[in-house]
Amino acid sequence: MSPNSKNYFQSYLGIGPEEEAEMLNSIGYNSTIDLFSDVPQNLIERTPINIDGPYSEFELNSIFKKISQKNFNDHLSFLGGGVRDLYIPAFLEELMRRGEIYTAYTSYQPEIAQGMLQLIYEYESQVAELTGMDVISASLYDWATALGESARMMMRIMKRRSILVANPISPERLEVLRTYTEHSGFNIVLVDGEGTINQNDILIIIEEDSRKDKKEREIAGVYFEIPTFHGVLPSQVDEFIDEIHKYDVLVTVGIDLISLGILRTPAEYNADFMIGEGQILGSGVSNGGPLLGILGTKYNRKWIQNFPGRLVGKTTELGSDLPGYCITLSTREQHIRREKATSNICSNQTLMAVNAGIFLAGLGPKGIRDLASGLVDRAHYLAKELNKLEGIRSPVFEPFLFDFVVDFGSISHEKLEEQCISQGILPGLKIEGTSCLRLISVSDKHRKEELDYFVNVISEVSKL
Amino acid sequence: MIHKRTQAKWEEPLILNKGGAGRRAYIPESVNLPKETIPDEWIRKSPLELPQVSELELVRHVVRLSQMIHGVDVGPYPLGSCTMKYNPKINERIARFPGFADMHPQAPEQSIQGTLEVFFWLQETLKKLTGFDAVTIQPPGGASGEFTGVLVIKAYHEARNDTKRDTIIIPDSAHGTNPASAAMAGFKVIEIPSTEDGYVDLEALKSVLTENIAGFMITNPNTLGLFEPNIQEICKMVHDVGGLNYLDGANFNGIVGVIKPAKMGFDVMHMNLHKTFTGPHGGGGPGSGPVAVSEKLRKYLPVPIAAKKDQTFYWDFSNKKTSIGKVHGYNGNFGIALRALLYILRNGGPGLRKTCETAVLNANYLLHHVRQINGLTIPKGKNVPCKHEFVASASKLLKETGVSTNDIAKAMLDYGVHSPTVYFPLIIKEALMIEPTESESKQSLDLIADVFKEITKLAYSDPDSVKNSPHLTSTGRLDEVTLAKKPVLSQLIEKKDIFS
Amino acid sequence: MSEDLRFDNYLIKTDRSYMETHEWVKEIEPGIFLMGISDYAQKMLHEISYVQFEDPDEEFEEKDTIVVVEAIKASGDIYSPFKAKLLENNENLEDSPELINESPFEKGWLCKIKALSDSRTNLISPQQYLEIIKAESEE
Repeated sequence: MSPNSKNYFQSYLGIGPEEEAEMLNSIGYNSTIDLFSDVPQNLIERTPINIDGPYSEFELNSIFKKISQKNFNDHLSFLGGGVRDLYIPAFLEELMRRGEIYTAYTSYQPEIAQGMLQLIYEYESQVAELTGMDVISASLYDWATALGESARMMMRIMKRRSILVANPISPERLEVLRTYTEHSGFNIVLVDGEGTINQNDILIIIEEDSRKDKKEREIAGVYFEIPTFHGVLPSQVDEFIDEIHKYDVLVTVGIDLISLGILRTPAEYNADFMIGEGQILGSGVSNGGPLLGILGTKYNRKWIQNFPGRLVGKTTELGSDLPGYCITLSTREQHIRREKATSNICSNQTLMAVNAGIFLAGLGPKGIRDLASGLVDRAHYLAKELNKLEGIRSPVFEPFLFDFVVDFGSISHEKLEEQCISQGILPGLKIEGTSCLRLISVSDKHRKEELDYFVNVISEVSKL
Repeated sequence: MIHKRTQAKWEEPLILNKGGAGRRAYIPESVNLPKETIPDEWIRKSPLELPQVSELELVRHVVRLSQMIHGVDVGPYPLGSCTMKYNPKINERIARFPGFADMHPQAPEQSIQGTLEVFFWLQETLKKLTGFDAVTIQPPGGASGEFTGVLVIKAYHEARNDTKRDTIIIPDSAHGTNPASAAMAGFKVIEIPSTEDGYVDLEALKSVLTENIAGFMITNPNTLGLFEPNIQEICKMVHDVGGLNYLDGANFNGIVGVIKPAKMGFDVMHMNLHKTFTGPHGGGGPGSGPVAVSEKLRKYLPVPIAAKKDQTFYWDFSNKKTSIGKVHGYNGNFGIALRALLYILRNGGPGLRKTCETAVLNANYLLHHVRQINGLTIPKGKNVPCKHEFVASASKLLKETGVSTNDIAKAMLDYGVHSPTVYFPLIIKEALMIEPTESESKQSLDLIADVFKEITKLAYSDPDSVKNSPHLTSTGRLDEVTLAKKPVLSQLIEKKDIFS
Repeated sequence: MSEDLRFDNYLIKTDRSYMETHEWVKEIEPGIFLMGISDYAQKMLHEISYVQFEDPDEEFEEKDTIVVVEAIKASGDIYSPFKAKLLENNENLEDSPELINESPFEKGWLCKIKALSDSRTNLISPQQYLEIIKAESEE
């Protein structure tokens, strides 16, 4: 029997074949295809389109089990660079399987969606608590697009057309930023630094720009990451940001949310906007998506009017004191403001925000400190052990936090990857450059034995 | 008389205000290594008042909140334009297979053959379903797909040094994302009016077609749920002045498996995998908005694209130089793409065709019943079947009783039925946009019709009871005005007492 | 001064000019104008929650957005009737945007501008404005 004669899809249809005939009859049609009588007939396919399937549920389960097993997910991975493969507690996975949560859509009718809205508000409130930023977006797609949105927002607020970006930044985030800005006439100016932020050059460029006539000024804002893409904690960030503000220029900082369990917050050093990747708060890396773009700012009504995407707020029921939650300040959004909207975003990553909120509540203050300092301990141990190997420099840049750059010396990236993969290891992220630099990221899934195993494998590989 | 339903009403405090000192739901894995310090200047000084709750407290909290959410798994959800169909559970199981859930996107190609196979299989399948030549899965939502698509249009004209094309034409019935995406890509937007019947006005279109037109963006079936009868002529008119045609695939469920969009004359389209192909809507997302294009636009798509040589899959970066660039940090919402592929394969060609026909039948069946309800009218599409959705108007009811579309939407919630999309499209006054999907049974369609009937009847006899609804949901109507004036957007804002 | 006009429950003051886009414009001294939105416009927007001002001293071309008035589910762009310089915003509206609903023609004024052009082609009379809202509400 050919697969096409199977009708496994009937599971997903609300009505059976007999009912179909009855319903058609009741509205005066003979067949379902008659409902397309208004369509130019040359457009209608005469036979079903020739794609694979239908498959039974059992077949799908078996086929995709095999496909999933082609991925080397059991390898010991040191890949990071924005997303991170951390352990996910069972209660979180279980809760996220609630059909009420994942089969709802945007809470357009708040009366029937209070649970969802409260979960989003709890997410916003906990990220606010963690970062010190008062206002947190209900979600953007990912860190990279949050950067694009933030850059556009800074330029909208300042009515200027350029953004300074401190390199090192991940090439992927930079590319998305360029797509979001350069096609519509905005400029991205990259300021290179050695592993960390080149504060001097950035200030020189801003100072120069500030001498122009007000209407001629170009630089709206500066973007840098803490820690930087190469893992480094910059020094004297407070003074740097104060200096930028003196020239009437805004600051967006990209942060690692988990690091804030131990690190100073963007509010403490007075950043204007904060972005980051929320996947690390309890979601799988999932081959790069779905992720969670985080965007926050301090309360400033003018800035908030320029915010992209959804915001959920707390109010009361009309005629009572009971709290209630709803989407607010919608007039910024595309469904109302159309071409003048602050962003085109509609569907976002709400489910991941809900997930992140439950994860943070599960961790609590002690949990997030433990998680952060556990990553610091693992990373520093690994960096030191690797540095003991001959021909290897680790870390290349200091001081670092969770991620660090290792110089593997004369070995090629290809050789290193090949050797490591054959021994069950994914050896971090390749960094473009002349020597064999890679960004090494640790996870709470790494025990001491696994870190030692990595060091042993590298020790052998480096002798080859 | 139909049964009403009372939604759970837990007066559940914010999780931040629950718990007690020292309670911990999740204790991360510790490691037996020397303690490291971080530079003094970096040590956190602000308090960190996250919740301290036990695992049970947290589980109970979330389960209670979930009982105060209406999802497709709870009841009918005829939210027009959103295609709230059933989300198959096998998809949820498979998406959580190790290998799919925990694989890093930047692992070397040999270690992600499974991932690449999923992307490749979906790309090939979407090509066949749309009739287009190339597909990118990278855009993480429908609006992101639109942004990608209009940038591709821009890149095409620029590559030909045709730089004066700075305008995109959009019908006034379009989704707000269309003009927003075009503007984000740096285009001017011209809106053209619709005809009395709700279709593109050919004369109006003609009057704005100049050599400055980069493209025309349209949803078909349109937002009224009607198929544009002149679509081939429209596409030709735009092509004749050198513009390109963009199809917003939000309403793909009305034609999928029956019509290949490329054949209508489109050059580029996006799909919403979370609508047509069952990615769960997740309370607002994640979505996934792949873009399909004709051959001449292939080289402008974001890279990489999954490719196959012999039996090996790889990332193809060959169009990096001509590409518009990346629109997502990695390769888009893989998890949603995977679910879409699973759904498509479960259906096959015959299943998707049946799905589409059933969605259209369900919409027409409901339309037939709603049309007869006193107080509601169906302003457009008088002599044609609708596709997957239709738009009713409560203008008459408002005039005669003072009960508005918003009041109807609220009253419906008391019956355990989610409201339709309201006040959209903008060209219909007091609009109710209704999309039942193929997932709903005849009983549930009858229920939706009966609910409309009962509410409109009540509007004539006791309008205040409708205006004061809902009564049985976990909250009544909310004070949105005070919130918009003093936006309490986090507990931190409450704590700081910013508005006093 | 002629008596104020009314259509339905919308008041149209006759001591000033209007625009087709529902702004009123009143010359208070030669070349200096106050602007606001009409009674009809404030009723269409419903409860106004926020007013987004531009910086005083900035110059605007004809039909540039000079103020945005926001309600809960709608917002309105207020266009400059001619090339103009923004002199002053009604700062009372920052804390009390509801003044626009309560007193659209007086306390709820939006901004004061100085004309930088002689063109008045975007201004229409109260009678002409009445015809516009009549047509709109009959639609």
